[in-house]
Amino acid sequence: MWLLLLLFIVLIVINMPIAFVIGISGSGYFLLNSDIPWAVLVQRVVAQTQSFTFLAVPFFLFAGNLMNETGITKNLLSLSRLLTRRMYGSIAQVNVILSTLMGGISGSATADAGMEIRVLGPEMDRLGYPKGYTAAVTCLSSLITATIPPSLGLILYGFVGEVSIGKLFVAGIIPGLIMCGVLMITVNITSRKRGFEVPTDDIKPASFNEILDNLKSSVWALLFPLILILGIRFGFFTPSEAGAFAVVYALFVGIFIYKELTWEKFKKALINSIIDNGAIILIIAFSGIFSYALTYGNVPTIMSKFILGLTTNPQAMVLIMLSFLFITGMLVDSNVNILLLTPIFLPVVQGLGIDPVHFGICMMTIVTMGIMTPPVGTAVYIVCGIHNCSIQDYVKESLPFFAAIIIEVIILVFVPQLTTFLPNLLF
Amino acid sequence: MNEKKTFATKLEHAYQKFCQIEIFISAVLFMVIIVLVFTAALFRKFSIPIQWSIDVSQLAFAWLAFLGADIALRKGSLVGVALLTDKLPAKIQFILKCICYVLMLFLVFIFIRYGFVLAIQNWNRAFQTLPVSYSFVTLSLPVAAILMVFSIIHSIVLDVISFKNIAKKER
Repeated sequence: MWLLLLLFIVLIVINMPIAFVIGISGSGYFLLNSDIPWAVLVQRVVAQTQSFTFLAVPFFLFAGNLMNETGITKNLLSLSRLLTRRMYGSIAQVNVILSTLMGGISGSATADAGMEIRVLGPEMDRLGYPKGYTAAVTCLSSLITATIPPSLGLILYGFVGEVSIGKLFVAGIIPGLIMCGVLMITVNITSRKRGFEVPTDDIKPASFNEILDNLKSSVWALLFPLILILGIRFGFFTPSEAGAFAVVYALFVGIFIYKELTWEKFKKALINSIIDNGAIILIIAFSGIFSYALTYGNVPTIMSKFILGLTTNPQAMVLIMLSFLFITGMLVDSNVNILLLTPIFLPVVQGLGIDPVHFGICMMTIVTMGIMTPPVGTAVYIVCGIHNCSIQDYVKESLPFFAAIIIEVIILVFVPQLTTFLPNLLF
Repeated sequence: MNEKKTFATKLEHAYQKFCQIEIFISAVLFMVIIVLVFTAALFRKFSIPIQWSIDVSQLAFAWLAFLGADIALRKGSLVGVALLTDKLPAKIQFILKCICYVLMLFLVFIFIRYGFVLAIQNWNRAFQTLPVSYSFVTLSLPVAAILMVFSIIHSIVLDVISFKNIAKKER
């Protein structure tokens, strides 16, 4: 079993694509245990694709990509501007609110961070924000999309841990809003201290009419998560069908409401979604080999015995696991963390009486934060790359935001009602 | 020399065409899945369950997923951790890349070798409610694996060319 781990680390170090790292280190185990037929390897990989739940992945990817091409972003951006124009660090606040609003139509934090740095980065430069600060706000605020439905991470968690995806979606709403709140407070404090965009008296707060006027067009984006959740709750569709509905909805809004969706944009969104989907599903498919090897080697049982030896206090256990996930998140992709560690962690916390929905939201927040932490973080490299900012500056400026999110997660761990209240009310 | 070059460009051209067809097929599969799942959900509301639509979409999904994975592999969208290798000299980076490619080819060959065998052995296993064999699902992996062999070779060729250019500059 050590070979599996060793191979895994060596292959990661030599920069092999992560999907193949999982596949090859998993099959290395097969090579040593000649009593397992090789055909099982093929079977495992193919079987991973045969889950109806996974259809939701390409659907929500495509819907998100389409919405981005339809001009929905522009509408949400002007709404965010209206709401924040009297605040300190107004454009930084726009950044946070836009992530929250986008969270309702897109399920990927990386995509959100990449989009926002392109849209808001140059303007924040012009208004005198340090590059590191801009990158930090953009990156960390995109974490909000990870909990606000629809969320790709929650779909994966629900699949691996056999937890209701509808419940997980609903449970993510309040934590997502809290995160928006703590990040806005952090922006406010840092902006006041450093004098970013001090509001002047001649700027009037947004009037009711102005907001109403904007809502006429942005309501189509804001309604979407609501339709999604109510649709799943009242059995109109399963999460996967909701994904197909999301695509149709995005097409409808893009063609008939905003009228900005052209054939070229459609093709671009389609091809990008096929590629994104292929990359994600390959990791999922190959993890079939890896988890088979883990289970064959009895690793989940050994691991859970070991973890249970540390503590049996439920909250302490969750905090230990989250710290572990924080560290693994620095090194591996968030999807990999969900796929490989959920089957090990979830049974342990459930045994200690923690609600799997509650644990899922906490886990998802920390695991997704992994894409924002160097040395290995997709969002960090995309944002710093586009914005031309050094990783050191990013790290320095992001510390208060990381602190804010960690405080939020600790609150979530100790007050489970924040996550379980809505799903218990609705389901 | 000149003749060799035109052959290489012709080959490249044919390969590009081939890749376009692959993207086109994936796009069609994707649209089919969306339409099927959406209409099935709609019809269920009127109490007309269409079980086969789910099965067909699952079948199409396996193909979409692995074809998409091949496209992602070719376009360099399968990311690794470049943190440590980035600081190494170009020559060592090149060698490590080659090791990666060889190992990837190894895994892909296993899929081809055992995938087809599995598909033939399971020919009689029915796929859910459909009157077709489950092997049509199984086949998606070895077929995509063959395409991946081409994609990996293509990447190797590109890397060798760029490495040669770097080596030339250094001299």
